[in-house]
Amino acid sequence: MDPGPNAALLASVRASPAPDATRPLDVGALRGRLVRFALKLVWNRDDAEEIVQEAFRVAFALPSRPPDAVLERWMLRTVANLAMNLRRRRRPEPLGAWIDPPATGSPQADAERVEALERLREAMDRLPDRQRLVLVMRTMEQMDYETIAATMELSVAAVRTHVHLARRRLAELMGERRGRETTA
Amino acid sequence: MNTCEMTLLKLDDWLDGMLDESDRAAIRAHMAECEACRAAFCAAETLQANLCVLGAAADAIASTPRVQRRHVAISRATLWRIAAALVIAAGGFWAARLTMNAQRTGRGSANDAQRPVQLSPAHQVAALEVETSPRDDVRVSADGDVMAVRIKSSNPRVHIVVLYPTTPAASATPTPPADEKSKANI
Repeated sequence: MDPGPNAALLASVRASPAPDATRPLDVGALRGRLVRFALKLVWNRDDAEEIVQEAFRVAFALPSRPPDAVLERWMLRTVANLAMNLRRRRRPEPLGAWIDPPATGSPQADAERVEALERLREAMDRLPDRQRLVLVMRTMEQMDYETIAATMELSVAAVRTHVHLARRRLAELMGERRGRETTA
Repeated sequence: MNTCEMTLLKLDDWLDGMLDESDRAAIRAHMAECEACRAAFCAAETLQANLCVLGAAADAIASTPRVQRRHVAISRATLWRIAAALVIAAGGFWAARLTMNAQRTGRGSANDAQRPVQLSPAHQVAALEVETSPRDDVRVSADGDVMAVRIKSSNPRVHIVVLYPTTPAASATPTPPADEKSKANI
């Protein structure tokens, strides 16, 4: 099979180091990671920062501080729940300024690429909450299945199933969209 | 379960990089012969790569300092709005100039407004006393063998004076209406 233009990107993603669970907790780094995670769910920086702020507020209200590794997972889960329950979202951040230009350098290819990514973002919003969460954790946060399972308090098999269903549903949604555009 | 179904079952592990080399070689060999599986794997890899790009974009948005982020947003997102505002402003200025020119020269063309009133030499123009009171829309006056009817137009700079002979000897036909800019033109 021809590896295609995505092979290098996939290889770099696979080679990136997994988060180290044994490192001491750095609150600033944790906040940054939580904001990045929340942003992948709500796609607005102000919303993401407010969610993380609320998660920290709840964490500081806990009667006793849990161990760092547990706290990090707990914060991730809290942020995920807050993001899923966010009723009124602000406008999503535009992607155009944040996507690296493709190798062709053509403005048309640029625009088409950004448009495809916007469509993908919209399709992700239509996934069931749990599928979207585990897909974001697996493909965007590069978390392994065991960490996702521990964070979401699910079995590894359940996480694998959710990721599989999310990928399949996402492919269907993108295929439907492409089909509608072709027939229109 | 046929080969295609078995191959597609390994799609997730393929995307997650969890297959050993023998499995990967077997999948490559199958895809070399099966176009449907090849298309499915390519589509899944493209989707996976686009998700990675989305994730990287989100990381960039979240990690960029606010000031720099606002600068980028202005330079990219507002560019078209600024250009549109400039075009609208230029169009408005051009339209205003056209309107001012039209008001200055009257409703007709500039040539019509500046053309001197053509009068028949038979009329004793100098002896006419045309009323110029601004309150009257139509004024009639006469002197000797000429009657003047002055009609005000909606444009304050233009009015119409029609001269009629009061005696058949003066002229056989009335002078056609003519625009004029002021009494001094008569």
